[in-house]
Amino acid sequence: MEKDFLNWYKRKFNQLNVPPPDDAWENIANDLDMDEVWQGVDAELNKRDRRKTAAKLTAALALFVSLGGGLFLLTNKNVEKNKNQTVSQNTVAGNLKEKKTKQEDVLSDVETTTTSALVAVSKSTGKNNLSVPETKPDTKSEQKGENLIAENLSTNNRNSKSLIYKHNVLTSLNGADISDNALNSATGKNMLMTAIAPLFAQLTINDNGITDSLIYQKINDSVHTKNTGANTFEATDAHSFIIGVAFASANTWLLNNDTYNGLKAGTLNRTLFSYGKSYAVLVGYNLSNKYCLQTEWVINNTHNQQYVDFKQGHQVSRDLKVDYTQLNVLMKKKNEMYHFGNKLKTSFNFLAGLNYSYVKSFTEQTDESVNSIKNNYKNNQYNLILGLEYQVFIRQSWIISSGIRTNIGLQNIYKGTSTVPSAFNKTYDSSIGLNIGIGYKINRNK
Amino acid sequence: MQKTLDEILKGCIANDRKCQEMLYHRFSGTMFGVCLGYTKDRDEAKDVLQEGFIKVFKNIKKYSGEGNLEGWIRKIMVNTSIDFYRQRARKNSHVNFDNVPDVLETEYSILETISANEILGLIQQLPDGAKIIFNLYVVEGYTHDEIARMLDISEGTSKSQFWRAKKLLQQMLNGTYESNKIVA
Repeated sequence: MEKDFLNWYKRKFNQLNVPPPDDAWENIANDLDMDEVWQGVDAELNKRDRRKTAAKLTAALALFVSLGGGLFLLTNKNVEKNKNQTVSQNTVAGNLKEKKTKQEDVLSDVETTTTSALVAVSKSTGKNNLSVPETKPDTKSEQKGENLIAENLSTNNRNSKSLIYKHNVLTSLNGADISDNALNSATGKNMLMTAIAPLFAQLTINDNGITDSLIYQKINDSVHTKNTGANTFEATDAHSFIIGVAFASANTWLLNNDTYNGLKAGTLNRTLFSYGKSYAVLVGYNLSNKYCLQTEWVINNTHNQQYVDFKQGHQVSRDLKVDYTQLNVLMKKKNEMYHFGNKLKTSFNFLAGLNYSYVKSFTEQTDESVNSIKNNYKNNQYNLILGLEYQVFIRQSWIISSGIRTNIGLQNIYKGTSTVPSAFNKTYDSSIGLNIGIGYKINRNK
Repeated sequence: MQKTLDEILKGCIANDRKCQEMLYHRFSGTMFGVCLGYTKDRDEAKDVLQEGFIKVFKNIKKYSGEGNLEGWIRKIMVNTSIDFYRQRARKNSHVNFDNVPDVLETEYSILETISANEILGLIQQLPDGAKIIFNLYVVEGYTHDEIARMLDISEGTSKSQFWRAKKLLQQMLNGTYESNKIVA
């Protein structure tokens, strides 16, 4: 019985032949004419857009190359400077060591002479408590030596010259800095000149603007650098924090029935490429040399979707615009590399994580008006993030990064209304874009 | 001079406006009937017809020649109607299927006396969602699974709306039958 009814209905329905209104064909013909004109205009506009896009890409490429080149040169220059400094410090250290050895030889000779002199003085003064100070006399022994000199100057002028020499040579060794002048003078032939030579030596070095302690510090630094892998970067990033800022520009997609139809051939809807921008602050923690956990607070992220809606014989331009504030939690898998003889450190990272988005505003702009449609969409949204990132390390602590990221919408963001259920306008928000950032690394042990 | 359908088709592919007009006049009556079966009123049916034919002319190169040209155009009209329905449903319409009273069994022998135009009047009275689902299922031969995917609804919703549409149609037919009896 039911089948009969349905067949009857189908038969009757297929018999329907209703003349359409007279103006229907005129409208169709007008639309087709209009469409041909529009196609011409659109082709011209697209041509201009392509030129604009090419100009933007060229500018971006030029900026990237010049910025990257500048950074590389800067990095290279710093590394070169550090290298020269290290070599120079090693040379100074080597010279000092050599000089010290020579001076110890001289000292040995002089010590024999001085001991004899002291014995002679001792004998002449009847004092038996005179002794030759050890290689590095302390303040007490220095004072003792000075007393002896003062005492002996009055009793035995000739022998006191040896003591003056001895005292000054030991003092200069204690300062660990001897110039060629001092070394050449310390021959034992001219005791007075030799005795004051270290003072000149000290002055000479001070004229160069380098103090003894500084030199030693530099030497120690160069040794440290060598011990950490013969490059200017620290051997490990593990357990260090990173703080920074990031900016992104992305091609955004708000896909629903209308905008998805606009991507298909054979429909009059037309979905356009739309772009959004975002800026963020970030904090990262290097769990190890391979992994980094990063949290980002995207202060503002704008997603757009422009499309031309062909409805009831009319084209209406629409622009869906949503502003988010977001929280990203990402895990980075790092692959660190050294280039140009360890002068440049970079890292190629794969990253994955989750994004939580809070809708700040959601509007639909048409040719005529802007309406808030925030209430029709879910305030809290969750997305999956996948991306690739390339980092360049500047000196020890600065990091410049750039990369590509995709944000994949996991849920239907359309909440629905009392008249239109959620399922009738399923909407998904996704994006793919480029981002750049700058960060500063803070070592916990510093 | 009367052109054959093949000649008209070739002209349409060449974007010949005269041939396009011929094709339109050949199928517009039937297609307007189809549109009326899937839309809420004549105005919307007209819009669907216009947009549907624009799609036909823009995509006529894609028509492979296999199958019936009328069937191909009809499919475009039905799909365009569904697009319209979805847009309308999303924006401002509310389909309420509650409180549909039970109806008596219809005497099908009497139904044969009802004309196609009367049927059209009844179809126009069906709620939008129910009307589309009913026509997609009965006339176009889609399954509930296919309808559910086309309209972004569950299969259960498609079935329940079909069932309710059928009841409502039967109820209206009974009313028509009763009034015909009174007139007679």
